[in-house]
Amino acid sequence: MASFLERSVAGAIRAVGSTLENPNLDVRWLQQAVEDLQATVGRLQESSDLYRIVADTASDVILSINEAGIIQYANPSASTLLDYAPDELMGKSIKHIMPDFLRDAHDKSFHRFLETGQKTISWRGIEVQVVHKSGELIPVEVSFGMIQTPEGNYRFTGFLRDIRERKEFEEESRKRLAELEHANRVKTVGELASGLAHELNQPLSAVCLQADAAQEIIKNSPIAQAHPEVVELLEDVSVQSIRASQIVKHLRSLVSKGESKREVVDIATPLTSALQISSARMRSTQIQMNCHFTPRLPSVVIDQIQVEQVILNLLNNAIDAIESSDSDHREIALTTRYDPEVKSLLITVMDTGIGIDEHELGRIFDSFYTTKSDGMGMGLGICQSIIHAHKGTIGVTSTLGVGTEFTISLPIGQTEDN
Amino acid sequence: MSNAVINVIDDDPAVSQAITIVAKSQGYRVAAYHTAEDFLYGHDPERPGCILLDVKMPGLSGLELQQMLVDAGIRLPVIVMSGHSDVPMAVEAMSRGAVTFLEKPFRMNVLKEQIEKAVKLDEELRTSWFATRTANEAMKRLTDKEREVLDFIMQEKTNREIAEHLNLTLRAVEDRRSRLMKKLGVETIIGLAELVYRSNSIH
Repeated sequence: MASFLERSVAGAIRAVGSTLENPNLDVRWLQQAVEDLQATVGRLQESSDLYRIVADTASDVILSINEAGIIQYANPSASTLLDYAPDELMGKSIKHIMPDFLRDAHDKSFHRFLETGQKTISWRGIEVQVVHKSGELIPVEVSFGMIQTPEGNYRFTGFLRDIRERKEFEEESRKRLAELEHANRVKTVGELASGLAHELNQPLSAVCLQADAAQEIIKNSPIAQAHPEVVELLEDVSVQSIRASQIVKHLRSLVSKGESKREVVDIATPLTSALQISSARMRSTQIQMNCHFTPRLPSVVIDQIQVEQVILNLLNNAIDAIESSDSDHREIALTTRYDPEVKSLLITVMDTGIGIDEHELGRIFDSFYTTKSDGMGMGLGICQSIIHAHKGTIGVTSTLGVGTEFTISLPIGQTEDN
Repeated sequence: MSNAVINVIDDDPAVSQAITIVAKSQGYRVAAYHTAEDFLYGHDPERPGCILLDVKMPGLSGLELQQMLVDAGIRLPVIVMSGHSDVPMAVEAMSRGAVTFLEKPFRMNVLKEQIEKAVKLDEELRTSWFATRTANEAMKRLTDKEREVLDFIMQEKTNREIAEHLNLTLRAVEDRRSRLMKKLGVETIIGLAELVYRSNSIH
């Protein structure tokens, strides 16, 4: 367009010049040249208007700056995105809307380009942040353009696209994907465990029988008299091997839903069973076990084996916690009571062990979270899943160096229909 | 030491060895096989005892073997074991006549109990089988006429009634009666009834 204008102007000037030199020349030629010029200006105006409309109505922010980095033009969208009226921005340095940490980089690459003509960044669709009038940082995608004026100066344009929504979607997707991957991992582990169950049960079988056989041999021998704990230890080997296989078994039942068997149960039953299983370990680690079972509690509808597994898990964690601590106070307390306000049975497992850091408390139920160097970290996550499946809750309080208390709440009177 | 042989059929050597140790400590002889085929070809059918069988084994599966045993008329009591804790599998094993289904891992005292139970069951079955065979052979020694009288005795008829029915003298009935009791080797009516019951039992 510009060259067309140049030609038209040049043509008009020639026409005027010629006419002035040669008064006998046909005036119509001059008239024609002037009309051409008018038409050209008209078209130019139209074109300029067209671009102006585009710039004005674009939802992206359009800015143009000169070589000194001063904003020459800002479209109305600038106020929508940045809360600056266009005339507030014009005449200000572009750095006004840049965050501090980007200014140096901008200076470097801007000057580099002006001096060498080399682009150090992509001019199409890079993600940066701009500063809202309030100071808030807004993520945008920027594309640059450049023109050279007839005088030889550069004008740079920037198109800023608000990508906050896109970033939210991206974040959401990322979270979903992570959740899915996590679920997949858990499921895969569950399936792995399922496949391994049979394989694991073979050596566990051997271990259990061998420990029992050894216990039998040693029981009435001088060794047992000199070291009675050997018998306990062997008993615990057997007990732990059975426990190991039950853990795997219940991993499976968690993954393949619908295998749990709910029945009306006196809560003391699975608790007593769990206590029995862990009693050997408690004796051998000299931990005192205190039980306070409130009598005549209402029954709950639960999967007995699953609840037993949860309590066993908590008891074993309690033992581990006490073993990790230096305290002389080695006690685990298991209590049951009824809370009429929430119509639930409350079971608490308290230990006087090493405690849990308050920053870790929120994470302990995460799958794969463990503080044990060889732990798989599946225990508490599964416990939580089981309790939630029973429409109950599980919570924890803890003080480092003092102890920890887990509280399980199980609603009473749940039927199969719920 | 008992004459019974505990047959352990399990392809896991550690498990097999552990079970062997336990059964030996109970005073039994033990024969261990890695596969079901090994057992079929290698076992001594005359020896009393029982079978401990793992269901998931390469080649012939434990359940298939169990069926084959039933088909072959091998009546050794079978304890089925599995590392799989599969309810349908357990049900199937029991319906094929397993003495019990043991989920691996299991404690030694559980194993010992079940072995005792199985061996005892085997003894009872054998005793019962012998008793039946003996009774049958004894019954075969009776003549038709003696048989007639026996049938009436079993219907709780008095000698007098029997004499009427068979058109015999009372004396003749009494004679036949004492002869058949002697042949059958019983001295009382109860002994007689037991033997007749034995011989009628299906085995």
